[in-house]
Formats: sequence, structure tokens, C-alpha cells
Amino acid sequence: MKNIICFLTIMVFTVSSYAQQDAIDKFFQSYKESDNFTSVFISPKMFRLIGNMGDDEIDADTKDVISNLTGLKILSSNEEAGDGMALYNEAKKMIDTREYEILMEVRDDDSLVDFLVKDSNNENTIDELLLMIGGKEFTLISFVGKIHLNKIGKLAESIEIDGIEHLDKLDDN
Amino acid sequence: MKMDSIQAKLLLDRYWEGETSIEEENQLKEFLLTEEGRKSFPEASALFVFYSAESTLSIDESKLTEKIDDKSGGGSDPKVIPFNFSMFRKIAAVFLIVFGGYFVWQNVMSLQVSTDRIVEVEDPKEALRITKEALALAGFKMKQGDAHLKKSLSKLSFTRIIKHDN
Repeated sequence: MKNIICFLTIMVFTVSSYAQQDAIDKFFQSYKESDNFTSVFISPKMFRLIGNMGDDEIDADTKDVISNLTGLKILSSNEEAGDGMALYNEAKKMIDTREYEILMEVRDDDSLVDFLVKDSNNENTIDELLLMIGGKEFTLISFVGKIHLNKIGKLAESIEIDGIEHLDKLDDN
Repeated sequence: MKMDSIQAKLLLDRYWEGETSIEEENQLKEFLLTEEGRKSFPEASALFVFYSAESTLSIDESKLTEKIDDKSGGGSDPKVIPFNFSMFRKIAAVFLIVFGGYFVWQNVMSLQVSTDRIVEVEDPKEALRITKEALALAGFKMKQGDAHLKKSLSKLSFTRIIKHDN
């Protein structure tokens, strides 16, 4: 009997620690039956493969940032999922404020973006950057690894993504 | 000495005032228990008859003890119910097994659902494209935040200059 209790107690602790879900998982659980969400996961192994790419495929700055990443999760709703702002508010309630610190909140006319960070050391890096974007649609992005926020900011200027530059111009108007 | 009703009246008055001695009370009691005393002072006589009757009552301690024993369980040694620790241990173990099993099952099921629905990118080029887009979006939004902040700060400093000029 004692052995069973010990085994079960260890099992419970092991599973509960393994089952610690991050914000995306928690939110995903709420909408696991819905087909209106797309989720993407990029594993640490994949980031190692990206790090091994040649200079002709990836520039040095991008490689520098990506080589320090160990995981990327994206959860995105489509228009049929409903009001993106409502989903944003719902997701925000699920965020454990003891775990994440609010870095920045950017408000636009039609969208709201929260930057949340998880930091367990005193270095210049953070362990996780979580973006929650609410608007017509809802997007949750989680970067995990050793993240330099300054490098991400600089990288955004060099990466050429269709549409991003138009967003920048809209802001100037 | 025989007491008459007049003397009894005087003594009774003193009795009600609490001024009589034990001897006088006994004399009064003797008189009130007589036929003459009952007729002259019926109320006081009834009271003294009651006192007299009560004073003859006695308690049979052995019977009293028997009655108490009967009501409390027959005088035998009280039953001691031992705290069955092993029984409680077994009950606790069963609860732990049931709830622990349920907890483990719930978590395992939720993990299965969670991982089943997430699309894992297996092509490095596709992974790179998605990561770059995500980084660009993050960077762009950060830049936007910085721009808002700078704009707000410039408005603040402008206000301060106007106030200073005034």
C-alpha cells in the first residue's frame, strides 16, 4: 500500500509539473474543438537546423537572433472565430501575472498589442516574449529562448516582409 | 410551658421578622402542629407541617447510585473506542488513488489534445519564413510602441515649454 501511495504521489507531481501549460496552451484548451484557430509550433531542433543554414539563405543578423531561440508558438484566429478583441480580453485573463511582466502595451485605432516577458535572470536577455494582438482577428505569439529585445527591434527594420512597410507608412499618416 | 394563641401570635410575628431563636421556633412549631394551632393560624400551620414532613425525608444512597448506574450503562467500565489509524490510512489511500488517477488521466488527456492540434513545422525554410514574419511583426509593433512613446513625450515637453514661457 505504501509503495502504491508513493508511486502515485510521484506520478501526480511529475504529471502536474509536465502539464504546466503556457499561455498559448491554456488558451488553446478553451478552443480545442474550434476549427477557427491556426496554431504553429517550431521546435528547438528546427531552430538548430535553421542555425546550420548557409549565409546565402539567412543573413547574419537574423541568424544571430534565431540561433538563440528554442521555441516559437503561434496561435491565430480567423474571422469566423469572432471578435478578436473579445478573444484578446479572454486570453489576457488567462495570463498568469506572476509569471509574465508587461513590457509594453501598444494601442492603435483598431488593434491592441501587449508585450509580455518572462525573465528569470538578471542578464540583458529575456526567457520568453509573448505578444497578444487583438483587433479584427486575434494572434498570440510566444518566442522562447535567450531573447535580446534590441536585436529584434533592429532586425524588424532589415527584414523585408510584404505589407509590414505599409503598416509603417500608415502610422506616419 | 404551654403556649396560647396570643403568645403564638407574638412569636409568629417575631418569626416572620427573623428575630426568633431556635428554641422559640421549636416552641412555635409544636404549637402550630396542634389542633389549636391549625385552627388559629392555618397558613403558618400548613407551612410548618410541610417543613416537618420534609425534614423526615431521607435519601437511600445505595438506591440512588443504582439508578444512576442504570441510566449510565449498568456500572460497568466505560467503553473505549480505539482510534483505528490503519483504517483511516486505507480510506486515505483509496481517496488518493481515485483522485490522483483522475488528475493524472485528466492531464494526460489534455496534453494529448493540445499536441494533436498544434501544427509542427518540419521544413527549415518554412520555419525560417514563419519565424522571420513573427520577428518582423514583433519588431514592427515594438517600433510602433516606441514611436507612440516618443510622440507622447514630445507633447509633454512641449506643454512644459509653453507653461515655462507663460
